Amino acid sequence: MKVAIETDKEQELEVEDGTTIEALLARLGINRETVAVSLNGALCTEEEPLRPGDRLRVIKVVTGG
Amino acid sequence: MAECDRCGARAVYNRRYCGQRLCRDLFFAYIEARVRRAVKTQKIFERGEKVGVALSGGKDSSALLYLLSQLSMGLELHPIAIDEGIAGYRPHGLEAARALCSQLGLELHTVSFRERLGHTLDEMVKWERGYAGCTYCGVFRRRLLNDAGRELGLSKIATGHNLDDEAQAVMMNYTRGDIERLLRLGTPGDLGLLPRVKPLQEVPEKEVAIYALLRELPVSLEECPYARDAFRLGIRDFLNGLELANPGIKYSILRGYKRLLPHLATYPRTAVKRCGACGEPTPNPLCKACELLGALPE
Ligand code: SF4
Ligand SMILES: [Zn+2]
Ligand SMILES: [Zn+2]
Repeated sequence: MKVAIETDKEQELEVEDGTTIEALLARLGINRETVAVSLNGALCTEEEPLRPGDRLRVIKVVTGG
Repeated sequence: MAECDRCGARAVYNRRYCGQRLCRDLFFAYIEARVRRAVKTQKIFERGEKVGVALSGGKDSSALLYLLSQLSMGLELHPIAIDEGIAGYRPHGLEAARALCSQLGLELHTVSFRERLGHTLDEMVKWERGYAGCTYCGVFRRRLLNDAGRELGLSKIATGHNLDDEAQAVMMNYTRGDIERLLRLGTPGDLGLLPRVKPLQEVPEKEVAIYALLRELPVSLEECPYARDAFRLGIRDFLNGLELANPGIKYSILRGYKRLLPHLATYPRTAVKRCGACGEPTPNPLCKACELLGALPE
């Protein structure tokens, strides 16, 4: 299935059904401790499984300044 | 859908270090209680005190100001923004700071490098005297905040340092074996400065960010164009890697540090003198600010 994910850039990714946000972040090499995630417009926990057509936004919470 | 442990509503956050899932309302309650408790147990403020709040318009200081404004202690809050003069970056932060202050009905005091020092940070870094932007920035910001705090008759200044900042500072000083700095980190108002207090010290950076996001506080997400100290960034990434596998490790570092602190009290410290140029306290003949200013062209 496909999900849309927005980090620094927007992209569509092919993931297996039931993949969790946590697993997707790990696959992208993003440490979950450094981001907040919002699924279809609402903040959620990283254990949430993804469904077809979901829109995930990854918000960096750890900055340099 | 992950549910709140207490009410079954949609969970917005999982406190991995204690396995608790919280809905939006309970997340607010948890953060607010945590800050209230820190303020109470560490006796951070006295009732009705005149407190400066260093406000950058970023998530940490904005969340701090909001949280302090919600305390029922009759605090007189004076948000202070430092305008270092960083084109393309600081204006966004100042705009967010102004928006938050007007939302909270507070007057924002803005202090600028250009007015107080004659030069913006953008100008200073061009002189290539061998100092990084962050060096000028840190030294002069501290000085200007302190000056502004005294002029306003404040008794202390609160900063938005969070748990990540503190754990990083502990580890940096520890790995460098800088015992004196390690000691000063936990001693507010050392070196004759206005005392600094850090009410968010025990709140992880991620939780501060989520709080600011959920409260929809006006916050600038812009990043400073000047590169941060590579050593600190290394420590930051190292700690986040540790935290991923060991939830709660940052808190444990801070707690361990606080246990160590009383034992550091006997460590011999460099005597504090007065700066030969400006009279501010410093362990050296010239304070860092005067040293840096002396290095600037007229
Ligand atoms: S990153 Fe450095 S130069 Fe930029 S605001 Fe922070 S301390 Fe100042
Ligand atoms: Zn709940
Ligand atoms: Zn001086």
